[in-house]
Amino acid sequence: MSVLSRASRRHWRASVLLAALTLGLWVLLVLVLPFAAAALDRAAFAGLPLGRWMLAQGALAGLLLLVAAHNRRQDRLDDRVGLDDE
Amino acid sequence: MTALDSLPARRRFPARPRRLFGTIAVGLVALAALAVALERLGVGAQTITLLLTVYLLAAVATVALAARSMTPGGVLLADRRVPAFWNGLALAGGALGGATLVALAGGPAGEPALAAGLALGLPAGLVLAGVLLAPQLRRAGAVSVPDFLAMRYGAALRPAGLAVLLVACFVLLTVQIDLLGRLAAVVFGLSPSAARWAGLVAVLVCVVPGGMRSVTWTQAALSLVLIIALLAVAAWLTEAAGLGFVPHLTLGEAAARAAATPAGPGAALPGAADAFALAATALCAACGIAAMPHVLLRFLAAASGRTARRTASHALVWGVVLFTVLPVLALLAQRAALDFAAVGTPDAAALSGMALQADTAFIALPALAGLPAAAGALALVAAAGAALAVAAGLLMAMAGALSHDLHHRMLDPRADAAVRLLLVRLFAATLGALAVPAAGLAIAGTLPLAVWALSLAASGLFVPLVLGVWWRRANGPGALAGLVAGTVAAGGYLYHLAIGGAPWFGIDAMRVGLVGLAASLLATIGVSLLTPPPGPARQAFVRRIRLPARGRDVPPLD
Repeated sequence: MSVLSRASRRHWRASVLLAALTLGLWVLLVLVLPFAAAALDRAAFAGLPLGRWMLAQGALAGLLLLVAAHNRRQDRLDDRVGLDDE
Repeated sequence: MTALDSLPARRRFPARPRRLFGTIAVGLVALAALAVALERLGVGAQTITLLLTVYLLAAVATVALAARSMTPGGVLLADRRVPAFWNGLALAGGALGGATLVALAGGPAGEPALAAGLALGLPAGLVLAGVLLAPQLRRAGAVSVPDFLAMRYGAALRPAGLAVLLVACFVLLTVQIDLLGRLAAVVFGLSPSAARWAGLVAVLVCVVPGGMRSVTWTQAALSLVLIIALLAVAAWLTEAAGLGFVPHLTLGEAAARAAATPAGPGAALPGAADAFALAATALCAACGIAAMPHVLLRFLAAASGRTARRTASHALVWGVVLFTVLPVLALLAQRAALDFAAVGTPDAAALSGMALQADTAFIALPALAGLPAAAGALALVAAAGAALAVAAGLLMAMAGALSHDLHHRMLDPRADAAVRLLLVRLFAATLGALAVPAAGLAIAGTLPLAVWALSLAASGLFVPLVLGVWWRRANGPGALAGLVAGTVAAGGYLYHLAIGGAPWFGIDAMRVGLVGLAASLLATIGVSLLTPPPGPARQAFVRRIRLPARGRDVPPLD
């Protein structure tokens, strides 16, 4: 097996792991949050019950952080294979 | 066509994007300030609305004409050279704008869980698209969504993918044309039907001069206008209500005021009572937007795989800025609706008509709050920009796919480039002309129609696309089975409910995407495993699109 193809396999495995982690957090923010909102409502944030604030604004801010983190790590993975496509 | 041909087309447009879009932004703000002054001098609200609308249309027409193109690469994919920032700005309006955004800003339109699910699911879908599809689809060098499916799975997926693309995009297009028509009726005083045709003309101005090239840059301009106008209106409203001028930070206070009952500040916001409905809507909307062809087309036009991924995150930044202010606007609308019921109509008759329609209440909010006419005009311009951006993207996705997939790949591979370029424009005009009467039918409200379009894309396209990248074992028969099973299951279940069938597991007509997604996933995996794995060429294709690739360019665009 050539060096390139071993590096590319490593790149792909790391990318799959990263995507799986990102998707896991995505599921928490988008699909689990609605069910957890009632429990979160016992706390308060920004003058609102926490669960309702999370649904209206917090989850979106979380998605933004999530995507920023994914982009940073994926860029680093891509740079490591030395095949950055820009 | 010859008239356009004789004009020298600039190779790189815009040469200085920052200056062009800066001018458009400053012009909009200056014009709004001028409008406030003009109103003090006695100029009427109708004139001020007309002034700002004409500014929007003039800016769009200027950008579209300057971005004209006469090459297949430019018309189909904006030469695949769009930088991440501008592509992301274009995607923000093109994916998240539209009649949906206007309806969400207008307060309690229909079921709360549906609005809340869309407000969460649409931005979340951009994350899915960026992580799961954008760089790989770009690296494949596909021209359209059916083109990618055919590259990955074989020729049978081309017509099937095209059919789903056409139906999903067309349904969503009618929603935008309907809104554009209602706006044009208010601004120009046209009859509903004539106003829809006027709306279509505005959309065609974005599409016809340069195909994807002009759609790209007009979408960027429209997104910019949408963001500035919507935020200005929101800040104006919250400031006038004594809540402060950063609208995003006023949610708690706005919720406290909108609660009609003394049930506490959260009562006016959607909560946990309908958790399943909310999560299910969010999932359908997210998978739908991630598979909608007009969204994926933005990634195909990006300068590289990495640029495509960054396009999604740039769009999400704008999306979050817009979508975190929507609940504030919705609460102000709720409050205004209470006052409206108590006090009665404001003077502007047309705007009060807007206020009475739940999905355009946002446009009437400034008038109901007693703000200057410029604020109302900005709200209308924001709505028009949102609808135009989405409509232009949808029309381009359909016309481009018909020209490339149906005509060029299936019917006449040796057709002249000039014929193909003419066809893109003819298809756009024809589909638009069909959408105008279809929009007049008003089968359902804005949000239900948008949800059905998204659900169809989720049911038919999402699973074959995602597994095409992430599961090498997925093969042609599996993908075709998944596409067909997803659409048939979603459509069949909708029919089952329509004829009065009992819902399964509490899944109602707004969540048919769940049924489609499940059927599509099962069929793709099941049939793939029962049939032989994809051949070595397709396996190599998958390996190629998974890897960032400097120096190995994608297939040329003729």
